[in-house]
Amino acid sequence: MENESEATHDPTVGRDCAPNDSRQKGKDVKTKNVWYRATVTLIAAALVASACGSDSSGSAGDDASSETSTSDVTGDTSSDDSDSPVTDDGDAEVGSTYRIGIAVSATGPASGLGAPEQATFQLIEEQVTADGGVTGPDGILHPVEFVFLDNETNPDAAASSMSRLITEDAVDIVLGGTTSGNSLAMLPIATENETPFVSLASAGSIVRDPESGEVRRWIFKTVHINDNVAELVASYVGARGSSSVCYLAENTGYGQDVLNTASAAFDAAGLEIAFSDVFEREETEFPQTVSIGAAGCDTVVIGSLMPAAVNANAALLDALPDVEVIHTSGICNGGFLSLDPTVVEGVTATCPKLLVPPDSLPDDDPQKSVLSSYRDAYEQFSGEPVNSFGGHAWDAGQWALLALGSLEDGLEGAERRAAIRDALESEVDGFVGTGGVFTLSADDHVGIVDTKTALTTVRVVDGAFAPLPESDWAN
Amino acid sequence: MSGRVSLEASGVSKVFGGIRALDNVDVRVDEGEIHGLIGPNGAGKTTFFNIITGFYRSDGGTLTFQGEDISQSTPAELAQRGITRTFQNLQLFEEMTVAEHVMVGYHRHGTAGFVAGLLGTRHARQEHRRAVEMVDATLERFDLLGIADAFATELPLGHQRRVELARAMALQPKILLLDEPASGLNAVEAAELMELIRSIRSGGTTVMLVEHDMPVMMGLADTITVFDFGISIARGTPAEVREMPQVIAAYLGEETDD
Amino acid sequence: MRLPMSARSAGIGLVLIAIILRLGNGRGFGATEYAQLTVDGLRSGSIYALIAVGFVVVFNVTKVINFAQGAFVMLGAMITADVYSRSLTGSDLLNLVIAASIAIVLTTAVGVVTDIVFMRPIRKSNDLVKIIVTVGLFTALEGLALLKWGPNALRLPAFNTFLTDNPRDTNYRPFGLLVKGQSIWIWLATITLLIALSWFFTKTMKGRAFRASASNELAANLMGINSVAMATVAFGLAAALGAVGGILIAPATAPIYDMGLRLGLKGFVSAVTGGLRSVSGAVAGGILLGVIENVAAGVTKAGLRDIWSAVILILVLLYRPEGLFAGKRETEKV
Repeated sequence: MENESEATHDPTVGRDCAPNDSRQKGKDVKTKNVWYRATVTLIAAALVASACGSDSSGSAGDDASSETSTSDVTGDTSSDDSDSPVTDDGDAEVGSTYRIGIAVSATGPASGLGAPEQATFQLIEEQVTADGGVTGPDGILHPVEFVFLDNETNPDAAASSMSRLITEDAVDIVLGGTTSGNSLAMLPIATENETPFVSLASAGSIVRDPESGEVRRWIFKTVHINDNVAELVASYVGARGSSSVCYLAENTGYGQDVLNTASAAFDAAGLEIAFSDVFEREETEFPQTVSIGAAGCDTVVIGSLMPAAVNANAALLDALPDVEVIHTSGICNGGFLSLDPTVVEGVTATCPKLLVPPDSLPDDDPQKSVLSSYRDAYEQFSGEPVNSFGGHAWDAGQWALLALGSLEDGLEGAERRAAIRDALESEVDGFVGTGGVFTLSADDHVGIVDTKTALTTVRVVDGAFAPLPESDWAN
Repeated sequence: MSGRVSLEASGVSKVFGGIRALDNVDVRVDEGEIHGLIGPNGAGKTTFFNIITGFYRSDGGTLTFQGEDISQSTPAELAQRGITRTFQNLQLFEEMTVAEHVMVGYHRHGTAGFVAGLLGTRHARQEHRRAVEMVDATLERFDLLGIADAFATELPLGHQRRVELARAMALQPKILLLDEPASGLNAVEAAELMELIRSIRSGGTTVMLVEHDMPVMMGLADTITVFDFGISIARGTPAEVREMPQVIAAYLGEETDD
Repeated sequence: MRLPMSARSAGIGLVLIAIILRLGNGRGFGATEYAQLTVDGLRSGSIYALIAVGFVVVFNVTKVINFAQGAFVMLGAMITADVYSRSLTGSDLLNLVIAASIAIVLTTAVGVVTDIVFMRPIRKSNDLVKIIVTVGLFTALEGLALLKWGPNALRLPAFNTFLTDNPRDTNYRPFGLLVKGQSIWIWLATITLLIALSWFFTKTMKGRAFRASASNELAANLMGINSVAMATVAFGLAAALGAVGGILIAPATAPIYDMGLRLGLKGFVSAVTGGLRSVSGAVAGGILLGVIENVAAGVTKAGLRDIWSAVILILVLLYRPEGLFAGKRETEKV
């Protein structure tokens, strides 16, 4: 099985052992806590090495993998027929099976995001299976098989899940990634194997190489980029008459990215960042508040995920009760409201529209009906309240189905994957999704032309997100 | 002397990597006596001590204390039964005062549990008061009152030996094993030590003694067992043992060079 | 406490202070700002101290660096937050007391079981094996916490909220400084606990037996002290200390299943700074680390915060491996 192709650039070999010592890391930035990670990881690595040493047969596909069993039923029955047409369903002419690979953070620190994504993909799988698959322009029905892997909120596991989906499960397109760190770890493998990948994470560098400035040919994403957030925050602060802010970002890939993009966008809007710093997720002391006090900021932007966003918010409130706190879109789910309601009451955030009740949107909003129908479908399917992460997964799934539905019959392997990639750029044109109105092109792999289709300002009122229309910004 | 048997070893052996350090030795210590154990270097005296006090397990034979088998007991269990020892190279507690050493020796008489100790219950406090009285008495007996609050490991050697002895006696042992108690002491200190050991015996504690200093040994011991190359070769009073040809041979064999 | 710092260590300290003042000056920091950073550092330092004492207690008796200590901290915080959220009685204060008591008892039990089930069988193995097992235990406890509580953070309100009607008004502001209400709880509890511990170690029979076992296992055995049982006591005590640390710090952060690693390692660095064998050294090490870390983070990038504990660890290991606060006697021995 050791063929010489580039596909055997294979992180999978190391992967079967990697997750054991990786759970406690769980963050997507390499610079974090380097020193003691090194100490403990050394010891842990020794532990893992000894545990792995006993059965180091070297073969990659052993049973201890983290492949979840969600789709095992479909996976088992049709795993060996990807190129032999199934004809047992008499109604329509049936073409070859399309395979969609899913790799979200179903476990690990980002599972709060990954779980609703996973549920949404399962919802889509159920709907597609009920339809029997997707029908191409030639009228041929193609069954669609979903293969689910768990990337464990761990860049190593994420990379190897991408690798497995492509080389072992032979999927045509991969959806997932969940966090920016995971997506960045996964995308080189997608590019190398010429497989389209739709990420559900926020960092702009996922779709555009920050070094060369070029759009990554095989990579797309359904999540607004942090430039959209920065743009909206800048207009909001400007409308309130401030000319300078302080910025606190969580020391993760997400936090670094919102901070970096804000620096550029605020500059363009004539807004000064008087002080900025990062903080750790498990932080107990916030010496940054001393510097913020010394800098005299009356507005502080917190660029963080949960639960760190609330910790930072609480520390700010203790030290500087009069500052206005603005959160980025990283906190846009229910946990933010429930963790400590006394802290977050009255704060402002920029969130996807899914966060506010559809009724509160104006009737002429083009997204109103899709937001409302996804919300109902998701809440019925999962029994959980809707959140924006699942919405991004919904959009990604619909993109994939749009592209698959445009394919002619008879395409296989690399040819089919290339056709899907091209179809994404051409078929997603004015697509009305939960997270924006998207028009993809060769130059834009996010496709949000108007920021305000993706995000809206909200304020926490009586423990709930209430829409904050632009007309109320100055109040 | 009561004449009852305190400690009895019969046929005890110990093998270290193929070498028989002890080969079928028999030792009997009667209650209330001072029993000496002599023999040339490497005869197995310290090994025997280590077996009695539970640091080694014997590879054969029987070992009884007051008629009960003790061959499988740990040092802590033996201490609870009333067997303790001192070391040739002292084993004191760092960063603990002389008084604290004695109090630790008294430890086995405490019944208050850990939680009681932590919470400071009345029972624990009463016990503590009794312990303090006992500690003062022991310190006085061993002439350590003046240095009760000094760190034991910082004292001169002669004092350290007394501390170790006092600590062992605070345990109120039934039998006390002394490993070379006089080594490193000058003549005056050795004489004081002999007095102390006699007073320990007259207090009812059986003593077993390993000592190279022959005048000390001959002056103290009621009975002596002689080891040579891991075998017990003789037993008797000091006067008897001195005359036995096999003992003379064993010592001559070692000491002709002197 | 004596601080016989060598000239070299003192030199390094002065250079660090000069750098800190220089950097802080650039941000317009005055005495109030430095005092604020110090006050905040003192409270995380107190928590580090409690955790560090747990390391020392176990190390002295078993010669094992117990990396599971961080998991005890996490368990204390998580169990308290969990039980508290169930609102067993009508009084929030009573709920907290119940929750904290259950957390301490359960965590102590985990510590005791840890020793009896996992450490006792490998008592005769070499130290590296034992340390690896403690790392494994840490990972296992963290994994169990993830199973039990999931990946999301829990919450425990600041203790002062039980004494006031306005939950956001729990702080004190003496001399223009912010002293968080929780800090007072942390300091009072830490001081009380350390005094009780010191009294136990020096004034009670069992405490002396414990120290004897830590100092010389062989001789302690001869005094009828069961060193195997003492190891269990040490683990129980360390777990209880860790749990208290976790409970006290829980309101300052959102307790989460993987919070133990960071706090555990801070405690470890504090213990090493104090020489790893001395309880008072560990306390001083913890407080020193908390203050240095917070002041340094305050004048630089807070993202560099964890680097300071690494810097301290390396400097200590290079220049004073016996610990910063080793008294004259130890110094002479070295």
